[in-house]
Amino acid sequence: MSSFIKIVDLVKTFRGRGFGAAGKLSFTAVDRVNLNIEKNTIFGLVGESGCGKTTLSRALLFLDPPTSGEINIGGTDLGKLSSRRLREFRRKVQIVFQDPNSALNPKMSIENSIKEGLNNIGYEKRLVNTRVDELLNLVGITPSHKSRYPHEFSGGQKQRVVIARALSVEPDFLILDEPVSNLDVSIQAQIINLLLELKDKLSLTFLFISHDLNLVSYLSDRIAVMYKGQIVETAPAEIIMEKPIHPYTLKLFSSIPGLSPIDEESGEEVFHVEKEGYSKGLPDGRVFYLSEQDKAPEMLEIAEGHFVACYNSILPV
Amino acid sequence: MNGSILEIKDLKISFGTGEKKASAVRGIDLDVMKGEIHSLVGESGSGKTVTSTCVMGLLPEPPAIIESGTIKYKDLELLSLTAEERRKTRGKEIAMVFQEPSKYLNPAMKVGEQITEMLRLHLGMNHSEALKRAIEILDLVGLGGNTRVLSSYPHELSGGMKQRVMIGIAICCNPSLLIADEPTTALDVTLQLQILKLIMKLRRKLGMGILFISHDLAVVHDISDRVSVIYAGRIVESGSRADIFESPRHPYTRLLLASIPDAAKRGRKLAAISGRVPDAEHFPPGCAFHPRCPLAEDGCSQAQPEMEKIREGHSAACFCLSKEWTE
Repeated sequence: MSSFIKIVDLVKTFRGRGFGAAGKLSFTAVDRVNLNIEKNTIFGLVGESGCGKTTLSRALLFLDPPTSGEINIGGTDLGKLSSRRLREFRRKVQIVFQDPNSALNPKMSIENSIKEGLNNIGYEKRLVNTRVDELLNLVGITPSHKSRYPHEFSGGQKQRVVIARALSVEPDFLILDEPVSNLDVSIQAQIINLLLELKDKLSLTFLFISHDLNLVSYLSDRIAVMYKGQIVETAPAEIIMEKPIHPYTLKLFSSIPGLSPIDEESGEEVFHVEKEGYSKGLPDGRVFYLSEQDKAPEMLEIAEGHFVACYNSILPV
Repeated sequence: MNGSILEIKDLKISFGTGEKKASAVRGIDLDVMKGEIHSLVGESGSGKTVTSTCVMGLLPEPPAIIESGTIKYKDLELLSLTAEERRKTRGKEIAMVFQEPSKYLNPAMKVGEQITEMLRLHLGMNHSEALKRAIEILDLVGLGGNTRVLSSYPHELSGGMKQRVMIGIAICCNPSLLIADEPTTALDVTLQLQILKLIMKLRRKLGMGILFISHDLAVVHDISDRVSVIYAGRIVESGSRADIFESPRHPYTRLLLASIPDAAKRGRKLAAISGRVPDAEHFPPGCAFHPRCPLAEDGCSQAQPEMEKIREGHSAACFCLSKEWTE
């Protein structure tokens, strides 16, 4: 199957501000990322805060243009588009953020928020109103409430409006950046069910970014684990859950809460991400290197569709 | 003596009066035994933080009104103490760890001073004794061998370190009761696990009772001895960890557990609870869960169900406990 989204050697570097030495300092937030996302699948991206998940998603949309690398979505090379064409192209790729409060304009009724996108793409004027009703129905909000303002809705409803607005321009690809982290537990399931339903109905492709491993392992087809700007392992979801290879993946998945009561005696090793870069020995003798001096290991395909970047991985026979 | 260090009976707390009156807590019974982790789980607005700040004596009155109830700590009736007496118990006998360490540490004060301040005020130690004890405490919370921490300001520490420091400040006077209000919500999973382990280790070493407040059922599952589920200001189900997670009885608990995504539920639709979490000004009459409950009958909106004993230590408040159904 051919990939719908192809990311090749994507790098995003932030330059330090100021003159002299300060201006020369740079920070590589996303480091040579290669990813392929197939059509109509959910690609889960996990990692701890600060590892570059959100930077990657923003670079993917050219909201923060990447420093180098290639992004190809549905056959279009985004780097080669003029800024006007790029804006037109963005209707195919939409993003849903974590906090619906800051994603919706508080001074605009939800109807106007949704209409804005439709007007931008030159949607036929006389059809706009019907389209808004249709979208609100799609996400489960009564269309008669459309003249209300964001503060009149609950968090879950606001997130539904944000999803409706993202879908208004008929995208093929949706980036979901922690879409349920801000919601109450009993509301999260509603939104997740809605997203899954919409994906099937509209044959969408999702990039699902989250730090909630339980959630990502529930809905993803493929999972990529990101650590300090690099993808360290990527594989189909079942495989990465059953047979993780990279020590960091192991560590991450063994930290998932809710599996078993905590054994307070087991490995109290400190797992800090310190600035100086480090190599950390793990109990089973494996080591993983990710320091600024050492060149990071290359991605290896160790089984079909299972890629790992680690020097000391024990390859399955 | 039954070994309980905290006993809350029929606690009712409201805010405002007249039309705007919001009954945040509507009759809660809760106890924490010595050396036990008792979790209070609920969604936002369910009254968990109001309850815990009330136990701490940090609830501003007004606007809050404690309508009725007793909070017994060991043999002390906390609600009848004077403000000065409360202040003396706070930090020394009952300590609290909050969700966001960066908000509760003084940004303009070195970490070392923040720890020794507690020791000097509550235990009357002099400077050098306090400093010695502060080093021991850092060791206890896993920042040992790192005297640099003592002379750091909070902004120089990482999130996990800050949370360790805050736990250190909380435990430095050997409190008998620790209230942990969402202590790991702001942390990443790997750090979360470390902090949870630390809390469990300290519980065993110091024999504290812990009231663990959280909205995260997965975390609660991993850490608790006993669990109480709170909805709209009332406890709806209470029992041991096994009771709540293996044989939950209240429809809210059952649906909540079924709605949490995890790998085992792949390919299946999650059970979602319809509707929204009610706010304290508009709690529905009768059983507050009835508008969202799949089992609701006519009677549910009329009267409030009382806690009913299912077996020793496990009880739930629902009229429909005997009904058979699936999520």
